[in-house]
Amino acid sequence: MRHLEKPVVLDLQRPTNVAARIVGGVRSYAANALLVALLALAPFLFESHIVGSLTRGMIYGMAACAVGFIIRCGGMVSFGHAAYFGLGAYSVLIAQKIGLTEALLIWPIAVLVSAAASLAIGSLSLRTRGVSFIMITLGFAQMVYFVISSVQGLGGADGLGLQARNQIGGVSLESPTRFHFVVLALLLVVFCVLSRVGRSPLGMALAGIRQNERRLKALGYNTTRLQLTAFVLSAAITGLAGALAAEFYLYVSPGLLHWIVSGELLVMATLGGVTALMGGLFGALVLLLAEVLISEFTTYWRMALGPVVIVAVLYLRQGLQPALQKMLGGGRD
Amino acid sequence: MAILVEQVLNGINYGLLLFLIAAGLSLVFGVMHLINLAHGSLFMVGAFAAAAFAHITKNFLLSVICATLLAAAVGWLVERVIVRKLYARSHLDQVLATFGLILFANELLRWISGGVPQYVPSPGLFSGTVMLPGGIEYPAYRMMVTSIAAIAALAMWMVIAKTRAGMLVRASASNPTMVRHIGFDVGLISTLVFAVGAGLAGLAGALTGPLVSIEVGMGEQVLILSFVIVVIGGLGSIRGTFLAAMMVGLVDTLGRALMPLALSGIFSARAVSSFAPALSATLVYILMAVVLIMRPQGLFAR
Repeated sequence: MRHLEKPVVLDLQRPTNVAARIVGGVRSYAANALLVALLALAPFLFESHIVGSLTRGMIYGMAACAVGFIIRCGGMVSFGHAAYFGLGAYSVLIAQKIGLTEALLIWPIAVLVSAAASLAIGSLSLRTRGVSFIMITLGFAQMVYFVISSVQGLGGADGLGLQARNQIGGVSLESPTRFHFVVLALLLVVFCVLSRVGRSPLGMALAGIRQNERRLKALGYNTTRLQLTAFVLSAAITGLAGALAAEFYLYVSPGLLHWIVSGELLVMATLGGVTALMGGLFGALVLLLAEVLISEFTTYWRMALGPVVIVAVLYLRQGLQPALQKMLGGGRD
Repeated sequence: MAILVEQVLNGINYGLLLFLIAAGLSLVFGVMHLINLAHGSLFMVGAFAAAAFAHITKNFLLSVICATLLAAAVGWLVERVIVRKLYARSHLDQVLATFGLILFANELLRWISGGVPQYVPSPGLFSGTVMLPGGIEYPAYRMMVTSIAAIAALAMWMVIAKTRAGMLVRASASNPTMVRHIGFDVGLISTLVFAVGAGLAGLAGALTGPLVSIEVGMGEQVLILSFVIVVIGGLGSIRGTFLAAMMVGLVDTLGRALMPLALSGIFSARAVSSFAPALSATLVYILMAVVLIMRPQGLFAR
């Protein structure tokens, strides 16, 4: 939110003592650790429909974290990530149509398809910045939506169901609990990747681009190429999330490509806090929780969601994860 | 030949309607540097309001005027209550807050309308066709829509380019601090610009009503096309927006009409019917991609 314009002061005085570092590390990750523990224990604590909601929250959270990542690293506000989410899902559908059932093969294909699409769209969209970038990513995503929803072989505007959940190395994923843990494991892998990239020279340069692109250019960085790299990485992760969404719903429809998904992913990322690695996950879980709660009372739950989003943007300055983190007494993320 | 002329006229018609919407978007961005996703919702409000007013008043022109005024009033209110707070914020915040507005507006209208698409018959006086020179028949209603949209577009250009009020708007776009210092209320100018943009979108919605089914979500369709137009034309340039709107209107209409014909010469009928819709839906975006490759800042950016 507004803090985006503020320069980030790097914390150079990290504790050198190993024990202090571990304690400090645990404290600064307290909010994240609590959430991951909750997700890991969920199948033993809650009823199956709540676990299902949490699985869905993790899937959308993975995509939302990818959306947040390119805002934090690279300053790119993409309003078109539904395209990569949907392409990942449709890859699963197509793979199953040609007879593949091995997730270890299908999911990487989904990731590659989304990455390839984002390479084309990203290299065009990154010819602009700021507002035009937002509009263009939305435009191209809409193009993908139109193309896919007019292909009759893929179910057209209605979509198609999957026959069954794919297998991992011959092990069935039909059990919701097992699928929940697979999603959680993949989510943790994604966090490791995003965290490593964020701390790498690439991530530092990308953070610099967000703060002052012109200066990075003057220093000799090819900023567009760095941004494109981050954009493709983000789209690849979103494609994985889309593939998982297809497996979760066992149904693939153009609804997954709809521009409203792009908007929801942005809302999740910002609600959770774009400065935080796991902000998108917090945002997704809170949003889905709100959806479940409000839709108990009314089918028009978005009518309440709209004002909530507006109020959150206007008055919640930093997002949920950082706020929670501060409450738990930790320092940086 | 007759088909071609008719489709070109349809394209101009569509382009002018798109211009009414994109112009508001472009003005609001030019003066307040605001990206307003909810602009399409004002188009939708105009369409729904015209349908409701047509039911009550039984008079088409009156219902269009009422719907335009209502959309402008909604714009005024939204600017005063919410949008005003967003001017100083990042584009991300603006996108999110106006996205929230869309969610609210869509759900509100779904609730009011019961989720049923509304149909408005073309007004009786204009339900026939007119004979164009060359013996081509063209629906009278579309002809009238084209005229009204052209008049509105011309009036807007006159006001901005030739009047004192328009001069103030242009001044606020280039240097709001200076305008404030010589004693004008920039806040009021912003509200007015937003309300006028909302009114134009509402007018476009009211005029579109009898041509399509009026349903929730119709606003986003035109919003995304308006974004494409604004990007092609160059942000903040009204002339660029106008030319881009005409281009997009023509490309979209002609593509949909002529693409199947053109392709049927090369491929089998079955193949054409399966991928012609997909291909013609992408034409506008291909146009956008070409413009981005040639002139990333837009065709008429200053």
